[in-house]
Amino acid sequence: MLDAGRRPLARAFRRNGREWLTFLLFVGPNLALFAVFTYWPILRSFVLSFTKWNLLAPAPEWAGLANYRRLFADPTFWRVALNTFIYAVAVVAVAQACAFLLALLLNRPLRGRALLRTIAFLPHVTTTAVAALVWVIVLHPHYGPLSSLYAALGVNGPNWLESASLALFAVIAVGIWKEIGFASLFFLAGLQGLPADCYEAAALDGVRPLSRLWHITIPLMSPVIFFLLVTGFIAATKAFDSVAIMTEGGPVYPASSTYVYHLYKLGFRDFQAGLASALACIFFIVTVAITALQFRMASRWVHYGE
Amino acid sequence: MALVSCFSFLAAFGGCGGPQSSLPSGSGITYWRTLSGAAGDAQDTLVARFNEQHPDSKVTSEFQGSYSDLATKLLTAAAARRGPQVTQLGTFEIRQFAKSGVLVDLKPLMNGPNGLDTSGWPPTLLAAGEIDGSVYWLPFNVAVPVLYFNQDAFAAAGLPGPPETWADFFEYARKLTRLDEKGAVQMNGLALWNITWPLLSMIWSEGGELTNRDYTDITLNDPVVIRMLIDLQSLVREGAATLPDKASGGHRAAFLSGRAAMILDSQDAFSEVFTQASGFTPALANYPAGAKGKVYAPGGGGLAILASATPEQRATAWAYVRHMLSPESIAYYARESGYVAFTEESRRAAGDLLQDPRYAAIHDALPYLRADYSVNMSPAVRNAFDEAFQKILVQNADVQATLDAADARAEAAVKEELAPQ
Amino acid sequence: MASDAVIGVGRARTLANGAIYALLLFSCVLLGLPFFWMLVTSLKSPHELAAYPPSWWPESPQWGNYAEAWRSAPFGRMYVNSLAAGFAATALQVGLALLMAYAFAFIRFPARRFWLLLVLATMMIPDEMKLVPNYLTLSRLDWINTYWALIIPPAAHAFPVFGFYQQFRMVPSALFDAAKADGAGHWRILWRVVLPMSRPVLVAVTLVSFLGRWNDFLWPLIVTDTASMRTLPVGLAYLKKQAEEGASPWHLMMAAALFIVIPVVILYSILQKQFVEGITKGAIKG
Repeated sequence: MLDAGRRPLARAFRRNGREWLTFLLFVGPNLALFAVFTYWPILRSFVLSFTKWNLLAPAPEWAGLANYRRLFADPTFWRVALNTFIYAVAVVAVAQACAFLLALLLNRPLRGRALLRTIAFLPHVTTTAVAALVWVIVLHPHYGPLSSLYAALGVNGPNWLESASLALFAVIAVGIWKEIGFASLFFLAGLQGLPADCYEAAALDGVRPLSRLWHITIPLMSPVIFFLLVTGFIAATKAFDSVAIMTEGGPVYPASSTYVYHLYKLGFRDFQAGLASALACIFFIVTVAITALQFRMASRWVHYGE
Repeated sequence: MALVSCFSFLAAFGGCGGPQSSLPSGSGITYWRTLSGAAGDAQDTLVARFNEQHPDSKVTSEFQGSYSDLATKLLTAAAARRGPQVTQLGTFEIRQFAKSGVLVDLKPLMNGPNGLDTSGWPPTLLAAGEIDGSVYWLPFNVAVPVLYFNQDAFAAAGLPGPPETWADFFEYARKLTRLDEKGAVQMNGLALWNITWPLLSMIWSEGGELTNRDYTDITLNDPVVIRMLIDLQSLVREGAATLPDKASGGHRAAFLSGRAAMILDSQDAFSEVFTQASGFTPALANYPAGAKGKVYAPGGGGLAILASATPEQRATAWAYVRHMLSPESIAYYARESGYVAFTEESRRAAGDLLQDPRYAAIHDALPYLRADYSVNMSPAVRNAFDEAFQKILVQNADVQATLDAADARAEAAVKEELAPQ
Repeated sequence: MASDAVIGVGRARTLANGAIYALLLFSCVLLGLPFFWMLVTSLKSPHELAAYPPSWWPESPQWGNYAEAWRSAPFGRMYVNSLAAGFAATALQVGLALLMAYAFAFIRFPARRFWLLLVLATMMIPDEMKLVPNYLTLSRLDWINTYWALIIPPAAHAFPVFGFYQQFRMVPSALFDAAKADGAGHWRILWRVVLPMSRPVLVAVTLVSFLGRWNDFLWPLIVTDTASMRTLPVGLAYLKKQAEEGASPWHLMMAAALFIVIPVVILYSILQKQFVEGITKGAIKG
């Protein structure tokens, strides 16, 4: 490939033409769909981010950089950005650590593990909208199951969704709960694909379990871990459903609001599609940058076998 | 293997794209609605009746989710110049939709040959959809404030009946609050609904104002507003009132399970309250009166015709709106859904419905309605007031300072909002 | 001596196993509790719902709740739509992603890394931002309120592409080269060499893709207008009450939620064997 880059394009094509055509054939259909249903909306958002528009008026009105200026001066913008960052880091870190541990346990030959695996995956199966509804009840200080626990302990349980400082954590709890099921599925699938002979060799050499985990399992699993870190982070930064159902960003907006919820509220509730577009563009740039950073760091710790 | 079968499934399935969009042809029109359960079914029945009575035109009723789902759909469809010809619409969207030319001015139709006689309507109800001298929205599912109270708790506290004034109301809330021997609250006098709607009645009846209709005079820090919120805040602080979260609709649950003696709600809670209250006898009353007497903020939604409708469709659309607002329809809807029969004729048509003293009490509120949705219709004012309300009651923030800040914020944001698009 | 050591090891193993079981049980209770509560709530009477403290098991299970919930929306039709659109969109998503991921991993092309990032970038725009432009596109195609609207726009997704790509990079290059030397084309290598080795991940990604379609709410709501074209999550909205209306009928909503969840739980327990069949299968590698 590097070779091809140095030669004139025509010669490179003569040499690799068949390969290139196959590549385009394999990549083309998906790329065409992306172009229509994703790249075009991204471009459109970019243009709209320089306008003022309520989606209803016949045409957007040019506003230059006003939207960006307004956002950067708006404490709500910074607050939802911070909330989203806290949410994403907490969900990715806690859920993936728990999921990895859970997958290790579920990967052992235990009786009834099929059932346990199904239970572990239940959270992800449950629609976020439904999960959020259930959690509204579960967390409820009076008619949720936790209330019995509080009563048994003789304490007044906190009203998670009624507290400006706790509501975000209630939303995070749902995020973690859902993500554990998802991540453990992939960890489990990854663990199942690991070569048994490495372990046999290690067992023969008398390698202790912990160092086996550190020196064999984690390096072998690094592509899966990396995949989950990248996709988990992106997905977490887009948290929307649970906020919409559990708190609507409140109490005391934006105490528990996330970036995308705020974007939706601006665009569809507050008639500020231009401002919402600017929000989307900032989101795009920041997540692309973070993902690129993750890729750059990946070369240090992700191993793809041979 | 699974993949191959998936593909063959797709191939078999690819032939049928499903029914094409229900774009009406000729004078057929589409009606988008919200509201689930009985309130939704009753609308569909009314649509079916219209179709029976008008064999030459057809209305198709389509449920589009909650008010906000519906608004999102309308916004998206409007961008593509699609959507229904008639829609149910919450109060949040009226202004923006009307100002952007998406809605039809109904005034000429109302005054035309097949007009709409609104003489028996509560005085201000029509003004709700009036913007710049045109009428873009007519109320359909009208909700009125209703106070529900626990009769047993009232008797135990030695209270003769529902509070007549807001001053009584605050006093009763304190008297009704019961503590157990450890000092923990056993019953709150009041469970507050976690939305600002009940506050409007409270503030207006005491002579306070939040904004005028063209947003040139925003007064979120009006002395009356400050006083009412200070009173509410001290109730919450003392444990006499509680503010359950929004998502669970917890104020009703608190009342139904006997953990709160009063709730400020709407007639919508009626069937829930009288079928589910456990271990006590519930009763209802109008909201208390203030210094200005009784002033009640209505709730609910209304109907609008979209400007994208062709002239032919507009004729059908108007006939349909008239049908939905006929006395018989309103009466039927009130009976089935629990919304109010808001016109005089519809109350007559409702007949025995109002024989129930509870329904009669609900309808007693009608003459005192003040259908002014200005706070709802401006996101700037609405957001600022909502946040101030939450800050004060959830975070126990300083009332004066919070309302001052909210007022300043709303004034700045409204300027941006009012700038022509 | 020797037997002592064996006993010691045996005891330690029992202890370790006990600890593992305890830990697993604890986490399963945490993960399963909300689901259990959903089940219990779906069987309560409206009266019991408001009871305080709440009951952990319904006094008398209200099986009628399911019938009532079922009648609240055309769930039968919605099942058909969810299954049809879900399977079709997933098949396309997975099929197209396999080709793309294979190309990124194994076919020589200038700047492959750049193309990959271009694809990953599609995940970084919130779906809410795509609503209006994609609605406009579909409107021009006259696809609003058709299955096409539910299937085609979500057919391209970066998640399965990246998932497969990560998996394919773990395929030993020796295997790939050997197949190449045998004169196998890319299409053949994909089906005969790469896919058989990637089955656990293939199944897991497919399942997640399907779940994404099955559980999607906003997009189906926006692009379908009639109940006949709608999917199950939209059906749930037929039951939900709004803040302006007060409390929702939780028992019915939870019953309806189970309509949505149960099929995928069954699907998962069937597919589970496919990707966790036991260590031995994974030993192909190396």
